[in-house]
Amino acid sequence: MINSLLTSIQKVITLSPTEIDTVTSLFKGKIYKKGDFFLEEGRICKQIGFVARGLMRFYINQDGEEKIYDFSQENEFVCNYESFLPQIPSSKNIQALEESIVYVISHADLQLFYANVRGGERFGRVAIESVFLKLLQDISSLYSETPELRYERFLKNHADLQQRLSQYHIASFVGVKPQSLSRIRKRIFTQF
Amino acid sequence: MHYFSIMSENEICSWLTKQLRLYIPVTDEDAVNIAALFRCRKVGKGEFLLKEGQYGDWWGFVYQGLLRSYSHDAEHAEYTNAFFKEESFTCELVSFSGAAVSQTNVVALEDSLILCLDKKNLDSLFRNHPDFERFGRLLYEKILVSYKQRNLFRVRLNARERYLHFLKNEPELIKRVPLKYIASYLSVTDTSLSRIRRKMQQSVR
Repeated sequence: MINSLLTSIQKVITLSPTEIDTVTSLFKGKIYKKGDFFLEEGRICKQIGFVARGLMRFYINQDGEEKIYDFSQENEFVCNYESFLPQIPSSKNIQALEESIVYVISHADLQLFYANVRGGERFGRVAIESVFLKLLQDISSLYSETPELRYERFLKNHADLQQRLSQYHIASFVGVKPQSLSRIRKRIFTQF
Repeated sequence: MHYFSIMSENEICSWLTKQLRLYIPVTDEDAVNIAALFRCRKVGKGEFLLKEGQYGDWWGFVYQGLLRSYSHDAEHAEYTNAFFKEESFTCELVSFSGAAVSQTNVVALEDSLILCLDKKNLDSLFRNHPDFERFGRLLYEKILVSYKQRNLFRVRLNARERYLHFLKNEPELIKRVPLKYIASYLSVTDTSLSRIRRKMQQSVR
């Protein structure tokens, strides 16, 4: 299972056998049952996770409603960086939608990773660059896309998630009520 | 792209060294080599540092001046992403890798000088100075947190609270940025912002 984490890191940097041992000892395997929280609002995000198996949703409570703004699935990292990096309480929730196997690293151990793995800083820079890029794309999508376009983008980027998510979760991510989502779906699928 | 050699190499070098040393240790010798890879760009008031449709494949550090980054929404209305003043870092990551053109415009609100590092030189720094990777990571982390917090404020704070927050955190920008752009940055209409400001002045009296 930890092999998928090592493979993911080795796509960016080379790891020596000693460094593979270091990574393996710094990341700890954890199981989250369906409904368990990786992070709850009001708490400090103390770890970054790598999803080896499973699915998590990111959501915010807004005006008494849960708004989903992201998902993390296999081979993706999971973290609320604006809580983790400055170590301040989170305003967001991260919750397992399926039983998930996640390799987590603490804030302190991540500093050891940067110090003891030769390409550690490079991996960190590349990883944070892609998080930042995704954030910018999400902001731009929020402003400039209609719900139809957001739904089409969801289908394109998360094709495999369609079967794993409820319509309620997809609607929340697209930013519409479930009834509106079925209207959008009807419009899109009758076009073909 | 116009490059001007307005500032002396020494000026550029000592200013950049200061910026680098906020994050990583750098020897004087390395600092000179790193600074030599930067170019100084002059952007006059009203001119563009980056336009929609171009590739922004560089990092920029504002040495002097003030710029505004803005994009257009689905109805072609303008919204302001950010202001860049002295010592701000600007980078159009969306078009950085060359995968897509920029959706963003960066225009100077005042005559500005920006120290730019082209992606080619940036990549060579990452290759040759491992510490520079750390600089990049810490820089991105800082900006990521500020963008995320701003998004959160938009959701969690009302218009008045957003203005108060801006007032408290960017007292200098209030003086330098035209109000219509502050309104656009805070996602409120010009009229609402004027009303908020009027009410605050009345309550002070």
